[in-house]
Amino acid sequence: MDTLKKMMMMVMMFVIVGCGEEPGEAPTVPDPVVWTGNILIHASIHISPDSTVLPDSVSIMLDRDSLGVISNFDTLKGISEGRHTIQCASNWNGLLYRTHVQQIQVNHNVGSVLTAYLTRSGSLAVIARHKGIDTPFILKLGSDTLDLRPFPAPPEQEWVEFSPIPQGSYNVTAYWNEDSISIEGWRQNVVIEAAERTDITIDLIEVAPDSGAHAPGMEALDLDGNTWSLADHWGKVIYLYFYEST
Amino acid sequence: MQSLIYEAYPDSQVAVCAVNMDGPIDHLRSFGLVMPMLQHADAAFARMKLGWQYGTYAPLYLVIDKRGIIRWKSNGQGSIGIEQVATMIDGLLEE
Repeated sequence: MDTLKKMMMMVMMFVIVGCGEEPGEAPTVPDPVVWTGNILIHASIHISPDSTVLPDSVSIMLDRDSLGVISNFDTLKGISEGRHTIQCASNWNGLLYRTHVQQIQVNHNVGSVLTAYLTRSGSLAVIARHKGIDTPFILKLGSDTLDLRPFPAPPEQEWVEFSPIPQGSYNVTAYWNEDSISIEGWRQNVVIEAAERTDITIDLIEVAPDSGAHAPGMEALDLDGNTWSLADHWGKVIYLYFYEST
Repeated sequence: MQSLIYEAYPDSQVAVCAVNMDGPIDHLRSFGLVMPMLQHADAAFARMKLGWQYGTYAPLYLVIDKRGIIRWKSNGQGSIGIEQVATMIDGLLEE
């Protein structure tokens, strides 16, 4: 059985994935205290080719609590911020094997919410908070950058109002720069109708060069010279492959 | 692998694309590729930008979910195959 132990090596890769807050009821400012978090787990078992024994299951333990059997890719949701322990275990021919306990630090990279809604008067009102702090930002509706009033708003007003916006379907993008890090809201298609109020909530995500962050925008030319934009494919699952032929 | 992924998801819920980072790819036209193949007009700038945005260089594989969040990133090392990528895409489609 010792040989089997040596043959089994579990590799776990933890990637912290932020998860936005649930939309709140405008015009109240979302509570900045409650953050949620996800951990994307990629667990794989490497087995010697001459092994005749296969593991029965792979399970994950977080803070000594078993979270059950996982598939090769799985997401643990609602992990609180802070330090946690995580461990991978496997049933192998009736015996339990465990990896060493790993310490992980969960930092939620989403602490920002932009809430926008169409007011009765037909203007678009926006609340933007980054980790509970009013933050200047840029909002785009379609391809037009909206003309913002000075922000933060006056103390008696929790939102900023834009000029009346025609009814229609728009892609809303919000972003700002903080310490050279671009923070973006994911592109969200919004239909503005002649209702009394249209609520829009946009999760704002730090654009960091790693998994779990919002993919930066990208444009390139196809073989026919047409522009292909990543932004045109939001809402789909996207598989991208960058390569060099030389 | 990317062309197999492309053929496995013919519907519009999955976008599959290969991006050449080092110049014109007109020669690929003769291969009869059906998958979108992209090229950057300025290859040097594209490489620099890729490195800055993702902290790595080609080859680079990305799976991005419907919200635009990068859910998997790989330089092609390791043993991940088309089945694992397809399983991941299937899971993201259900979210």
